[in-house]
Amino acid sequence: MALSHYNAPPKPKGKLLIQTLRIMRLISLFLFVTIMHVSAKTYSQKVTLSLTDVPLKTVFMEINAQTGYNFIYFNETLAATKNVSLHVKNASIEEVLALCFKDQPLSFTVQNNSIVVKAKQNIQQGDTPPINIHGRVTDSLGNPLSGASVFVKGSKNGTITDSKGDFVLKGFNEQKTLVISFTGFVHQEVKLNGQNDLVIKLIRSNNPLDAIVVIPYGTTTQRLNTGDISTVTSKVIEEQPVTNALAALEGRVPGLVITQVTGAPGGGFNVQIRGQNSISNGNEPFYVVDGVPYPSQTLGLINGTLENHNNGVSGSPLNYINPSDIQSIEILKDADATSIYGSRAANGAILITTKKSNGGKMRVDINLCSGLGKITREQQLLNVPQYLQMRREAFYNDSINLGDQTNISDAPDLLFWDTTRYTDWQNLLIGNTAHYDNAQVSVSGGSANTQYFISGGYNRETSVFPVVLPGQGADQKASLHFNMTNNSENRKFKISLTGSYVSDLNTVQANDFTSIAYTLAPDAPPIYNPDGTLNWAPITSGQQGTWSNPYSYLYQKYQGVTNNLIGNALVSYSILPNLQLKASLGYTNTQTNEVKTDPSTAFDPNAGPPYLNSTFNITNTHSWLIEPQAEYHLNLGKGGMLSALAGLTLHENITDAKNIYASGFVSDALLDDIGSAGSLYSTSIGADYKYSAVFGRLNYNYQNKYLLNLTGRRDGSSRFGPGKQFSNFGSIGAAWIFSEEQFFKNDLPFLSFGKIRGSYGTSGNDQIGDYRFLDLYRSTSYNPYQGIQGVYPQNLFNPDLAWELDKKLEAALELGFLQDRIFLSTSVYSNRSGNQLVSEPLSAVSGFTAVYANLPALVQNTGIEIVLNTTNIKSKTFSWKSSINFTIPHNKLVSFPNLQNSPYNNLFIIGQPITINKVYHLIGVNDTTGIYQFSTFKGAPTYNPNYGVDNTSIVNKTPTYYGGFLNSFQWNGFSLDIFFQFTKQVGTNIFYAFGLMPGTLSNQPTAILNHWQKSGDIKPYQQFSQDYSGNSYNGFSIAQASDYAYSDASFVRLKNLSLSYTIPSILNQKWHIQNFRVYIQGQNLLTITRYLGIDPESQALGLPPLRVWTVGFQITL
Amino acid sequence: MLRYKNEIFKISGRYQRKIFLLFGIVFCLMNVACKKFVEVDPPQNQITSATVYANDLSAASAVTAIYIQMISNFSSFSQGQGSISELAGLNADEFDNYFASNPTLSSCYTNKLTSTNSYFWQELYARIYEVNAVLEGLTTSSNITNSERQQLIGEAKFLRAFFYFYATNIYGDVPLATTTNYQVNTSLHRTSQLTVYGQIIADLKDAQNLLSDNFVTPTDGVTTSERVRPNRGAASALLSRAYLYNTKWDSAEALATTVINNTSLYNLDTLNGVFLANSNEAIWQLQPVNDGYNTFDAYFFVLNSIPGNSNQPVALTSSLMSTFEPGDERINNWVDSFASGQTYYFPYKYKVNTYGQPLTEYLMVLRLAEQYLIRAEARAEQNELTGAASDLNIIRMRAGLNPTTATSQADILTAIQHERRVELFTEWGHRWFDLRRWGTAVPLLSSEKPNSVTEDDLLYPVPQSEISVNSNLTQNPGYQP
Repeated sequence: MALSHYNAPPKPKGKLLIQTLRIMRLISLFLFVTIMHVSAKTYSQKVTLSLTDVPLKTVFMEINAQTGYNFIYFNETLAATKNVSLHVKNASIEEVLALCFKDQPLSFTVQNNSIVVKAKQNIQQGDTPPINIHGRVTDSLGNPLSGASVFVKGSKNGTITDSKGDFVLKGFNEQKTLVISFTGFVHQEVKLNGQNDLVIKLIRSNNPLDAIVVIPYGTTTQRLNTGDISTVTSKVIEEQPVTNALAALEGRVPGLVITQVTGAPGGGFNVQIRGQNSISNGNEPFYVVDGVPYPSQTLGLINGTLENHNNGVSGSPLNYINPSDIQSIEILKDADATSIYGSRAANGAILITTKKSNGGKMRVDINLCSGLGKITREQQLLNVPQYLQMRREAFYNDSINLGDQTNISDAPDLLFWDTTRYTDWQNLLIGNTAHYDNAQVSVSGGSANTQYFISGGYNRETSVFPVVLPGQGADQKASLHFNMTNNSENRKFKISLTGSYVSDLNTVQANDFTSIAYTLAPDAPPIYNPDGTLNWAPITSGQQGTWSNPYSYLYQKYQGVTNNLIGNALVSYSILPNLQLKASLGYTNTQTNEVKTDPSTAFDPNAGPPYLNSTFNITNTHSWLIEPQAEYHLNLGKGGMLSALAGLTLHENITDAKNIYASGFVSDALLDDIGSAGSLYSTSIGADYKYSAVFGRLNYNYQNKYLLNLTGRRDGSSRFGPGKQFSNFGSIGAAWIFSEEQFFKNDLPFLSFGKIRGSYGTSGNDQIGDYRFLDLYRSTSYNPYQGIQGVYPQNLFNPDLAWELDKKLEAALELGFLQDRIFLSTSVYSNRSGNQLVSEPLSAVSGFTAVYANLPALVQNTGIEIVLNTTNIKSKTFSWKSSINFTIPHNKLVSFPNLQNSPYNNLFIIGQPITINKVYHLIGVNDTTGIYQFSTFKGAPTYNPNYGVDNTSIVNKTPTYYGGFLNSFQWNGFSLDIFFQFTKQVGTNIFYAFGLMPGTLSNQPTAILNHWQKSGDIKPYQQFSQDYSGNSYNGFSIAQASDYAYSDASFVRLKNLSLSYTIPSILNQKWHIQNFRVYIQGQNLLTITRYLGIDPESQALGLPPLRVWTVGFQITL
Repeated sequence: MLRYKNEIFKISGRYQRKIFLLFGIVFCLMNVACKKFVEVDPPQNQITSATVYANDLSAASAVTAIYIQMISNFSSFSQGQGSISELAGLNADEFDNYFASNPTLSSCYTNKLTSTNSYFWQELYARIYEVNAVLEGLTTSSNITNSERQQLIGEAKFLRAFFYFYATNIYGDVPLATTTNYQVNTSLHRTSQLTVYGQIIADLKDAQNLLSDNFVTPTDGVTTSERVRPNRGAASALLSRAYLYNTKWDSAEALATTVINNTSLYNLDTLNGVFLANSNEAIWQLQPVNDGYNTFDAYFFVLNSIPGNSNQPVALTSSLMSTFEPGDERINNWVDSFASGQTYYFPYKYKVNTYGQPLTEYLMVLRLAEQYLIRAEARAEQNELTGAASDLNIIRMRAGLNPTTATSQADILTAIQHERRVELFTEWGHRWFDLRRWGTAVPLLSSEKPNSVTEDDLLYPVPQSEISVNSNLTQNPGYQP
């Protein structure tokens, strides 16, 4: 009894021009001609038929083909009809229909472009016989909605729609009202006035509570979600001029801390969800792109600018996903949301969903923008007189007489360089303007059964570093993304194919100039000689130079090419109306090929023969995934709905990396050729990670009021030894939407939504690297001994290694007031990570001093997260909405057996966060000696505190609180979004970052002018010195490991500003476009901070995130 | 296909049961499949122990790695700076320390060692672990040819004895680890020196039986001129030393004799030929493996500037220099000096101290001259004075000296002690061990060193970090915190 539904675009009624435009669009996009050809015809109102004794259905198809009118009917309605013969020429549709339905037990009504065909009602007075109600539930485009619930109002009698959106309710003997509801749509009431064939179109809800939320293996809504999931939509991402989607998440999501470690294009990010769970192993969240696991870190790159090895952050693989192709990013935080990912999601999960089409008319979207980037602020550094004074004072303090010219090599800045010369190195080395260019084109559309989305993009970004070689200093990306979804005619079979390919060419300078820019002496020599060669400033011609010319790095060439392919297919088939079999198939492949060359031009020609060398790095990661699943929906009656999901995961990830260091070249021109090297040194990494699991989920929904969600997973990972590979994970989540209760509705009418939810469950962490359980031997890296190479045991193996186990508990309250104009969500959580994978200390008698083992140490992360969304003003022409998110995290080491004897003894204190640093306490500068003094553990002053005893000052780098504050204004076509990010925290400061003693040959922040000079001075900074073996250096280096190196790094940052203007729709019609928008966007525009340093976010002496402005326009055809 | 949706309600119970049963079966099947699935091959750049001991070459490679690590620049045995020859030379009266800011060298020189330093402990046990892994791997493997298995087990047992010999002579009683089981090893008690020597002697006897007479190649057992793998002679030579240290004079004499009599292999070389690669005198040498380097002894000991930095930290003591008899050719061939205001003497047994020279010198571990001196001492102790003097004179003659004038047992023993000092100086801690063995360390060093030396200073402290993780370990006297 399938309901056939011929759907074709209505006949265009506009001018010829519009038709022409449409046709041209089609022709220009020949690629889609085949897809569109069914529907892209022009139609006539007149019908010409010549049919003899054909089924009615054939007639309908023919009329549809000629006119575009849809016929909507149930197959069984036509069962009792007679064949017809029709011979008409240029007849009107009404005439033809009248002929068709003559003598048939059918009636028809014309609604817009649809003709609804029904059985004729035999209405008898008085006694109403039981009837069966047939119906179909669709969205506004006519796509069937499967799993919608259909209930008789006021009763518990109801059903759910099958995979074609159809339902049947049997045995009614009175006229009733049906209530149809479906996740994400406004529920609808339909009064039965004798009809028994219904087509119900639901309208998508625009209440944020009903927006789709992607969950593992499915979707839900904010309203019905039992877990803690934050969604960042494509709108938020598109408003920000970023090339890595992670940058767009900064400050947007409570519980999520994202730190950009460098402002260089293509750089890495530090990502943490709800704090640090693991003492010594990965704290990376689990990334999933369109259902396929995605790596969290790139294999090591050889470009130091793109990574921050101090923070252990390597490049970000998300650089190779075009942010414009992302539909939404979901951040999964609690057990209910993450448990189904089992052993991999202890640190939360980030789900990235790429764009798809909802079908409908073809839509061509073009977005072009261009922008500029600069560093956010300059440091106040010593000017030349101040600098020279510092240096002279240092030599004086060290009792070195600079009149003696033998000291030239120790003090070229004082004795040899031109001391009247000043160079603003910040301006020269990191003060350039970075350029952004971005172009994106997408085409989407489709019919009821087939939808497509195809996009292409090009992005180019340069850095603020200077560039001297052609082709260097930019990161360029070209990307292609597509999604194709097809439903079979009977809606049982569905296939969705998604693919993304990004090709990235990065030639950004491999040495970060930031530290040089801050520390180079202000009177350092000019970069170039008058003849255009690099100036090395030798004392006498032909000698080795007196400085390391920073521009020499610019002659080192770097080229990194990364190609990233992500492919995914989702196939599903409904074997029973409520039972669907699905399979998700995924493949990703990331290939990186890097070359870095040091040609002779990068060397001081008088410092000996140039050491020509090249580094080659080739990495290849590919992974595949197969996930067959079965999903079953069951109506338990009385408003109870049960959904069950079961599935299997097979996943493999293979990494292969080769790093070759080549030297002994004879010419710069041969540096790209490994074969021309005189000698090679190479290392390789190869790893195979296999993962399998069975998983299941049971979801019970009682009248959209009581929700229960159970998940379970049995996981196996190749990272653990035989017998330890498998483990079970599970969670329970429940929610009570109490605002649905009648007594709340009656007594608290201002409360439009109220939900209490909670969850508890387990997830794991297997980020320990591969093969840790095996007893592996590796080659000695020496010359052969008696002709053969050696292999030696690399580690003690622990066959008992198992998961780190994370137990997550969460409770949350979600409240909506005044039709959800005020929406408040508050969650409190407690995560406890135990069975910690740490290196357990052993007696060296065992051959090694440690073995990787699970230790019953317990790390706890607790916190409170608040989101408040308000619609402050809403009128026809103006609206103002605000959103604030706020997180107070707390981390604590609950227990750690035998901590005092472990290598972690100097790092942790039980009861304190694991993010603390135990440092010395700086008392101040001794007013007599002018040297820093520190406190012993007893509080007595000392110049030489003992490590392990006196380092009792505790600094904690975890933020005290953080969040974001968004205000959105809309007025007519104007839209303005202003987003502030704020963090209260302590961080390493500029003195730590500089790491160079004031008085040595390096520039310093002006703050150090406030230093000790003579006995009796009470000053914050010690005396100047340039002696690396004296007491001053001792004091300075201990100060680097003291609380002197830490200071307040709190900040409020105007992270994003986006202003756009969309032309009125009246103009759209006139210009025959769907939409036109111009915009200006800014990132990191303003930072309010008292931080002593370069950037409170990145903190390191590396290039901080840039201030970026872009302007662009978007046109939709 | 169902005709009416309502029927789902009626029959769903039946379906449900079937579906759940189906899921159950599929689940079980998948579980089995998954278990197989998550077993992976090892990574491309590493191999498992099962693979290592699956063929002759890779098994030989595992033993070879032990030699490589003993001679590499990270080894405490041979890295020159921080080596047993240097530190024990400072402990004894061979080296003066000129690099006072280095706490290890300073504390060795003043015999005030600290338990915060781990000295040789960690490396000795790392090598012992590797030896035990080789022994276990070879025992369980069935794919190794018998001759290879025999050779490698012999080498491994020799090496274990060698490492324990140094461990017990540096630390006294030491934990005796003979397996790779870390759960056992991490909580071992210290074993008495007597028992440790029992293990050393047993291992060396096994090695004597297993090893071939000739020097052989690593895998096919072909005779070679390379003297870089221990053979039966090496096992006998070390065993004779073990007996000497245990005052088993007759056994020491007998074993030294078997080595000395093997004149087809071992003969005393000219003074400048002794330390060359594969010299006639070599019983066992280590072949340098750092690209461009000969021995690190030459690199660190040979002075070309005033000593006092990390590359040139030490010079020979004046007491050693004054010990050489007039006319001793060793002072000309094995000692050289650098003068800058003051004259600094340095060992010049190994001469090639610059990078990039061809490999001509190997690091000598066991040599024939020591066997003559062992036999001389063993004979003297047994009152075979003629034989003792004859052995002593062979060494003296090579050095260009006249035969000894000593005649009484006591005088001959004194002469042998003197000869050991000038023959074996700055080699492998001989002097330090000898002084303790002879009971002369405390008075002698107290008179020569800037500070007094006690009996407790003659053993190194057990690293405090070791006692922290293994409460069964005790500290040597004099080092209690």
